[in-house]
Amino acid sequence: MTGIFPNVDWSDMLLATGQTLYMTLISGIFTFILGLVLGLLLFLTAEGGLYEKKWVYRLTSSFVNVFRSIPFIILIVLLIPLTLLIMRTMIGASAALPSIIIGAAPFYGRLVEIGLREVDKGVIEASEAMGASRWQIIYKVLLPESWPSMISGMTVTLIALIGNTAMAGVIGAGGLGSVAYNEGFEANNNDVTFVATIIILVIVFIIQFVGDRITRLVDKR
Amino acid sequence: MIQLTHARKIYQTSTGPVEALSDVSLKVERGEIFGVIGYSGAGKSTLIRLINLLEKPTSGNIEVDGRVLSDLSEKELRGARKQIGMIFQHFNLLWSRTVAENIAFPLELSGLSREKKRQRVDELIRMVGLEGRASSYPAQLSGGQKQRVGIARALATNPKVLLCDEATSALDPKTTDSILQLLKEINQSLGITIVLITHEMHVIRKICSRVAVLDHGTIVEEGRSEDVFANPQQPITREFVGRTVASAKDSERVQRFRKAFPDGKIVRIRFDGSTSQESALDTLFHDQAIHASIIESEFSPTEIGSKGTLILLIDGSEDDIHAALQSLETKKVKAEVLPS
Repeated sequence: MTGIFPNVDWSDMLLATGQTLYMTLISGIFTFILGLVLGLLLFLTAEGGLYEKKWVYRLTSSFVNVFRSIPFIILIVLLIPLTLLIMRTMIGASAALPSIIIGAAPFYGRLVEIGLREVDKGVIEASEAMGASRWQIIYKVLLPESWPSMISGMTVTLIALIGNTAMAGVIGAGGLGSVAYNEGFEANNNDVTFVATIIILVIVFIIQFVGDRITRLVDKR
Repeated sequence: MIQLTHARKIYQTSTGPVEALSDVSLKVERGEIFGVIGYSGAGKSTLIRLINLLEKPTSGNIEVDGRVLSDLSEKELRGARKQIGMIFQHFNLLWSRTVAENIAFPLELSGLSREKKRQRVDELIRMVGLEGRASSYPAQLSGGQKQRVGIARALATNPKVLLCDEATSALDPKTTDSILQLLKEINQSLGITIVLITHEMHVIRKICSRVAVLDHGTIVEEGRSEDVFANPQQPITREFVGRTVASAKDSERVQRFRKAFPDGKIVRIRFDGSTSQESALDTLFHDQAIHASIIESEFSPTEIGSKGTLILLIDGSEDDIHAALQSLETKKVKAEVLPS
């Protein structure tokens, strides 16, 4: 191994992989929860929704659109005050979390909204006819019926999110992105960049594979 | 059981208000099967949705089982809806749930205990004839089976009323009949009041005791199904009746002839299009001591003859009639004496 990749410090690489996985996992969990809330909010308050409220919809929708359009590298900078407030530091994997989550959650929120829209209107009507309350419709009908789209959406989001952890790595969050850029590119160690990239690819493939599997498992259509 | 009084529904659309129902009043008695027939766009869907207030009337009163639904609070309305089951054209099952879980859905809403729920679901699965399919998913079922799940689900809470929204329109004729049969059985064994909407006269004929004809948001005709069939008053009703029961009406006329001329034989002669009508009729009447009157005739010309049916009342002795019909055989025309 040392012959092919002379400049790779494998224990460093392992540490960086751990950091990337840590950032992906934690931000993934928060993105999922926040995205679900945003998606539900969008779906429920939209015109003709169960809790139709035009101003809430417009507000949420603009929030989502704004944070989806800001390039991630700029988002990190913009969110420095918030990060300092929450994490009390700008360095390390944890410091990257707020930006990654706020970058990914609106994206996932839109996917959740789309998934909820795909739920058959007839099924919602049938539930109303059976005397279901709105809350019962949400957790007994809307969420279970849109589960496959939620999971495949989460797969897409997680992969986009890994890209963002790499970018955050470049400006001090650590992880594979930082290794590839700082120790690989900047130090002219192409083998380091190469190995870091391969590991990121492997993580992406695994996520895609597992995501597809789970989606197929829960999809009874 | 159900009473709509001057119910009116106006939708506000971007192009202005649209009146879906204008002043509909009707009464459905306890335990009957009441059908509403109309073309699409007549207001049937709106009408049936007024009964469980899925659509709120713009004005007028909706009363089900002695309660005025529009007076109820949201919570009371949810309770009232548990007494009104509903099935749909496209079944509207939850695809993420098995058959048993779908049927259990309304029971979950009422917070039934696990044990009672299981018992009730088993009972319902037997009632609709879906034994062995409890753990299948809707995607694995045929249309007829899906509708059976829909029916079981609608009946789970022992409702007093069952609303059927074009429940057989997505099914083939044979499955339609089996579902209608099931509805009839349920009506008889449980005494449940059924209101159905349809655009198929066949459905009304098969199970409805009373029928209302809906056109452009108003009920144009209403009455016992047999009466409406026998004697349709409105052009639109005649359209519905005429299209589906032409043959039944013929036999009615035949009955009247039979009553008036008990001695005659009623004969149906079928021309398959390979013989000319004249030559065949010449043969029939030539040298035979019979008299005939035409009851019905329906013909269209073909290239070498005519195709159609002739129904005659023939007077004469058994032997003469028999001989006359025999002579027809030589012309390759089928003749049969209709049994009285």
